[in-house]
Amino acid sequence: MILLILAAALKLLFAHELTLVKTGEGFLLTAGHESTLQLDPSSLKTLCLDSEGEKKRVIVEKVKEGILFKGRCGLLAVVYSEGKYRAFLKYVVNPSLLTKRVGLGFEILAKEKKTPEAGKKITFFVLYRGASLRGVPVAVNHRVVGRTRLGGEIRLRVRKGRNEITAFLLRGDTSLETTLLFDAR
Amino acid sequence: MKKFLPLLATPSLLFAHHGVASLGVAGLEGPGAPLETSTSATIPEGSFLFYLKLDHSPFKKYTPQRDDETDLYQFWIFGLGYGVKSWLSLYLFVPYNYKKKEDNSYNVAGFGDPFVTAVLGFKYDEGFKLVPPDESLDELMDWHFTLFGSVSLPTAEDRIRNSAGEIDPAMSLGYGKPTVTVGLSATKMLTEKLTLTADASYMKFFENDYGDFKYKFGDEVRMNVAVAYRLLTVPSRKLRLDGILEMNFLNLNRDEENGVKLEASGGKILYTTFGGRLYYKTVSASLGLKLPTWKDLNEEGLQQGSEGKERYRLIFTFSVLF
Repeated sequence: MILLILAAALKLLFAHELTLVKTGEGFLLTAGHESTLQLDPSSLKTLCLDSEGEKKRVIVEKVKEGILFKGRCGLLAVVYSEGKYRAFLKYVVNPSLLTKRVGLGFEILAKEKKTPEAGKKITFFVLYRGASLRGVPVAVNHRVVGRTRLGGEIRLRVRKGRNEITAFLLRGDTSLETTLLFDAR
Repeated sequence: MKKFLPLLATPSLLFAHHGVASLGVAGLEGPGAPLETSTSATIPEGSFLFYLKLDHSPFKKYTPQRDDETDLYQFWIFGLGYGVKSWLSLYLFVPYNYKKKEDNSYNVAGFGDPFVTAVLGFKYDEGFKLVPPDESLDELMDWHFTLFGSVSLPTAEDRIRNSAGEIDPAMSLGYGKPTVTVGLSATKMLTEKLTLTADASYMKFFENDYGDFKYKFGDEVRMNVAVAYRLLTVPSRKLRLDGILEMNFLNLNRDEENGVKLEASGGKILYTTFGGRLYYKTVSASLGLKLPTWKDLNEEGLQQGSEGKERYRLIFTFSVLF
């Protein structure tokens, strides 16, 4: 049964996956090439924090590749809803904000205040509506690497370059995914 | 006195079995498990493991006559394990032995001494720590270790007599006294497909009084090293196939009768084992051939029927995690 649920969740994950990419101007929200999402800016909410964790304004523009967020954010959070799909994305530029809880309904956080260093491990945890969640499948750079344990924790090795950690969940017939992105050297 | 008993129930051989790294996503991509070398995997907390092993060992015979040479041993082991914690597994193993002489003068079959085993799992991840539950694939790449200890319960028949009414302890089903084994294993996924495993163990026998004489089997030291390579993974079918290669070293001390060390016992043997393991969901089956590739027996010419004198050993295991 666990495997069946996991397979279904994986299918949903890779069918609809959204991601954030850092650009010269800010960040770009794009969908996977098989996605049928419309990427309508009216379907999203955003939060931009500067390096000190203060809220900053961000400009949202629909572009050919997706949705562009213009702003100098130490952390950008995006919530996107469409039909029975909801995505919570968080791009952390300033490593000190990896432990910063921004109140996403479904959120991944680092447990320890640590600068991500390629090859070293960091413990992350997954929250759903503020409570830790056990047994949630987690993928790193599109590869499922395990499930969260007690306390919603999962310990992961930091990859060199882009790290895209995604957890996913089915609630009724709604699929939820949350992604934490950061870069490491 | 020919010595072969250690083959039948050496606990250190028994953990090279399940190889189901964990339930769920990690199972098909976690570390591989060898055939004979003890893996450092523990049973997931709250899960059970059923285990079956067959060791089929026909022996080389050196005379054309049917003259009491050892022909064949078959050792079956049935086991049930439970994950008390993610870092502590407990097992109960029950052996079933079949031993046959070429002239059928001393054939025996029946249950051997059962034994209980505790396995403590720990790992190195920025320091030594107990194995946590639900490790991610990244965590499974760490060095993992186990400390294990085993005690047998001497409940099996230890003084079976041949047609002449003589007792041969090595042909009996049990040892008459508990045996104690302690060991250590280490496992490391060198790459996502290649797993290195090594172990060392010591098995202690105690003197048993058979009435007319006292007998003590020689203590054993085992050291094994193995590599398992993931040859094939079919995620959609939850299927995985590993190739396995092992070197298995065994040092047998001399047996003792009435406190005197016996001739025609003891020695050193190095085996090479190769085989494969198939995983399907939480079921695992392995098949391997174990060949004595080097030996230094104390009185080799007199030790027909001893370890190192097998034609081959065919090993089959089956386990289910539930």
